[in-house]
Amino acid sequence: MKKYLEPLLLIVPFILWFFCFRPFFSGHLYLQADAISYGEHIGFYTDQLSRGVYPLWDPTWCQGAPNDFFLRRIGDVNPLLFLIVFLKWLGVTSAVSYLFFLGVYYFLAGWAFYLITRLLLSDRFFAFIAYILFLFSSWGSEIFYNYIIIIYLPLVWFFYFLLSFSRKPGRGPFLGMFFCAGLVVTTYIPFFFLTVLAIFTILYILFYGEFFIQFLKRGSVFLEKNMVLAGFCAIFLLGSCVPALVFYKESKSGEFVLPNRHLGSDSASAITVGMDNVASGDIINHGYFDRIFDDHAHMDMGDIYMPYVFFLILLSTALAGSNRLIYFLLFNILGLSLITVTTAGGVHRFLYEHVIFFKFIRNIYYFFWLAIFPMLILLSVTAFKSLLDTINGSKRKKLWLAYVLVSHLIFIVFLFGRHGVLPGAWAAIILSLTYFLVYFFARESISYPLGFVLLLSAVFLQSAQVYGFLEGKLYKSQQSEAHYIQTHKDPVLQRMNIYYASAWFSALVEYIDPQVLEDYCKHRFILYDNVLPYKDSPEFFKSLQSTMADNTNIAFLSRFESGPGDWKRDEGSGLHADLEPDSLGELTVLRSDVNSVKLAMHLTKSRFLVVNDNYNSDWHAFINGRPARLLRANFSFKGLWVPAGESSIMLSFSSPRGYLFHGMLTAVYAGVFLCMLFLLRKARKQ
Amino acid sequence: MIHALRWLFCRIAVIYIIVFLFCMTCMDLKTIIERVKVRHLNDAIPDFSDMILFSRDQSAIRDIDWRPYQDYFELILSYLPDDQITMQLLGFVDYNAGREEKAIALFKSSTQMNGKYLFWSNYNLGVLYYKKGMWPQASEYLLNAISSNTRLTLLLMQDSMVYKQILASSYFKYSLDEEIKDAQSRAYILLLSSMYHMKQYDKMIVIANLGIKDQALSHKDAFYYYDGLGFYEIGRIKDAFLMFQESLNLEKGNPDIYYYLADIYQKAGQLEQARDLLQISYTLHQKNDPRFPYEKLANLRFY
Repeated sequence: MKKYLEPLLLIVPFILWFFCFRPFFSGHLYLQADAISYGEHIGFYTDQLSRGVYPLWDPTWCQGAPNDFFLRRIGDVNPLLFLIVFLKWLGVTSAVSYLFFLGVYYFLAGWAFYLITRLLLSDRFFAFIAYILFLFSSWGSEIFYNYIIIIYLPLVWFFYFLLSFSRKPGRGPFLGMFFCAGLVVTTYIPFFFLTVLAIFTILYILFYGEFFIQFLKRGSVFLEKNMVLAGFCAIFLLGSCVPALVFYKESKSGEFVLPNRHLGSDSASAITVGMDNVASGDIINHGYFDRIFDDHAHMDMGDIYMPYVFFLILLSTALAGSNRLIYFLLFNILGLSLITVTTAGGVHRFLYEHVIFFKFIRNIYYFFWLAIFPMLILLSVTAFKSLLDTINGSKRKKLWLAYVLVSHLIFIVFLFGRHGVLPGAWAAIILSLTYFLVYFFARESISYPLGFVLLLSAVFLQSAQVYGFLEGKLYKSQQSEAHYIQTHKDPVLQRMNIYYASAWFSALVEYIDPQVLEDYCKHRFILYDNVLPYKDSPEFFKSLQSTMADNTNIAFLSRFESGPGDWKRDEGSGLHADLEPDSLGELTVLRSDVNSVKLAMHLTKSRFLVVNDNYNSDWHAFINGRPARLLRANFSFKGLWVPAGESSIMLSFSSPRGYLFHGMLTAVYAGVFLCMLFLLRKARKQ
Repeated sequence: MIHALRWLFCRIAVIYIIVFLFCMTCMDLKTIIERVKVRHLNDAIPDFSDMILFSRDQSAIRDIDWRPYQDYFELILSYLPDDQITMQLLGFVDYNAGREEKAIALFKSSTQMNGKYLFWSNYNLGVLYYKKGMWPQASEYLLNAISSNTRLTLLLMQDSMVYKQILASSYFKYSLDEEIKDAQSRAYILLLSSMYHMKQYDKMIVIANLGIKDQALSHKDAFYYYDGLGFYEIGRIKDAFLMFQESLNLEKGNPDIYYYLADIYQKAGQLEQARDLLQISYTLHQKNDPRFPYEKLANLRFY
């Protein structure tokens, strides 16, 4: 029975959590905000992997854009993404596969949190309390609202492996640390992790200096004994940095833009964030504490919710003895909070000006979800343990009972002054009180198991009601949004709000009438007879718009990127460009995927082919197997001269070396993951 | 004593004191409070499309949920209680949401700014009282409205953050300047109509002539018509006839003009012309042209 106790402690609350969020899993509610785009990008990536294609180009995004940005966002080498590929292979739909993946990810995050608490407090009960507080807090709704779970999972497991390694150096935790760190650095935002780790390390040295020295000694002994593994891990981590470094280099090329993000930044890299823009992503702007104590019936996505048991613990433990861990956690929280409040703290500006990677962090408030919030739970549970230890060691138990009762009473009085407190909240207080009464009056053999049930019930009853209201509200808002779209005949010609796009396409959206551009882009291939040079100017965009609108037989090339040999004026040509060369037998698509396209062409004379997919310097053209000159045509698209007669045209993005590197890195990650699981299992058996 | 102090310092409650001191010393609480206010405001910004469409044509859109607009404007007023532009907008929303008393109170609180009349509050109060048939009150506020400086109205709207949000909506496709001039012309018409109801014909003639002389105003046909009506009621039939003719030169669809002209012809003994004009008047009445009578289009608006 004992063998199954721990899995039960993890699985039962998770099933209850799943019950709370079942409308998302059943498709009754759909994802919100950033969770949508991340779901789409992961869906696109795994779809392509299922077809055997490694997608380095996304032709569906703003008429084609390098996919590296999105691969860095999702962390493409993560072997757990193959879970989605596997489910799709089994015939499960994309949406269900992704939701299943999200659920598994959240469970794994909760599990790591449980293990950390158990490691720190050496008690299953407190680990369980930390686990359920984390599980049922608004962290659970965040996975349907944004993407921080993707960063959080490797981060929380890294810290588990680190703590585990510091206790008992082993190859499993060592490899685990590097695997998790590697997962983080393959994303374009490893800086949250680096900051949390840096603050953690500094404070660890300050608070646990003697342990740190021991840790270093043990670590060096381990490294001496495991030189090969250490060397491999170092190379592995360095290799993991390559995609992010390549992406950083590409971000300075000017070929793609992130206008909203980059606004106000003085750096050449498109992914840097302007100082004035940073405040929009800090905790003050995003951390919705408004409904932390009341009005839970109107809870919204993004609002911070914490079961009342958390506050009852904090209140009841005020007179319990503190310890080093509590202060260590507290100073970690305070340190990160100072950064997270940006303009109201002063520290952030200093870091922004002097620590290079702070220029890349926009959503500063993620520090709250990634570290502050879990540490707060850890702090409260540590305090809870301290309270029970203090009570156990005290001779005046009745006084402690009175104190706990008074704490609950204070909280009740506090809540009476607030509006919209739900019945579930009162039930949570009563159950918490019952727990303490049982703790004081019943034997340990009864109070200990009952404690799990009572506190889980307290947390679950309140949360189930809160999330019930949240889902009701969300359903209404999603329905009304759908109704609004159906009933309001919004003009089709809406200006696109560019988030990430090719720099040239971004300019086209700015200067060309959206309807004209939209109609033009419907034609994937266009053949022209006249090719003229242009200089960037407002007049040029007017000309381009009119040629696009009238389908004039003229393609444009930048005067600075082409030469007289590329330009041609064919006096005897028709007025209009050939919009459907495939229907006339001049062009046949032989093969096409997101990274490449192979065409067979049959022309009576040399003509200029424009492929209405954005140009990028990493695209290459081959005619009859020989490299050909690919030009930026009609300001944003790909164009090339095709000779008369039969030709085989091949357009491909990136180089075989690039695909090989990504493929190898993904394979290495899968190997390291399996190896890590093997080593951890072996260590567990030992 | 030392033992007790040591016990006290080892309590977890100390961390609460540390957090408190940390917040007081390391964080700029004033900035936090201000930014939280801004966040609340940003979160509450409604989609202004319904409000814009409704103000333009009240039959175009039904069952509007006014709650988001009320919440937003009330939130602004909770931070800026003296913001008269927001009062005007909340008044408009409250009136349409069925809270007339509150709307009147809001409009009355925002009729003047630094001694200068604000157009929209006075206009809306005038319309509101006009609809209730309270002519003296209507004419008082409408007189204030036509006395207000349209340039100032335009500048205040363009300078207001709330109006900027409204004007940024893709549903707002109008010229603000034209809209204000149109509303000003409507204010003249309703004022003239109120005066007519109060039998203040002399004043009617003065106001109508002011309207005619103001090049910026539209609906000149209406001003000539009311001018003529004023002359007609005081017995200056010849002037009335001339004014009606002027109005007819600009607009031939107003059935009431033909009625009065018929009356003038009848009094002059020219029964045949009178009969013809009455016939035209009757035919035009049957058409139910929504533009007539002029005072029919008395709706509250915010642009």
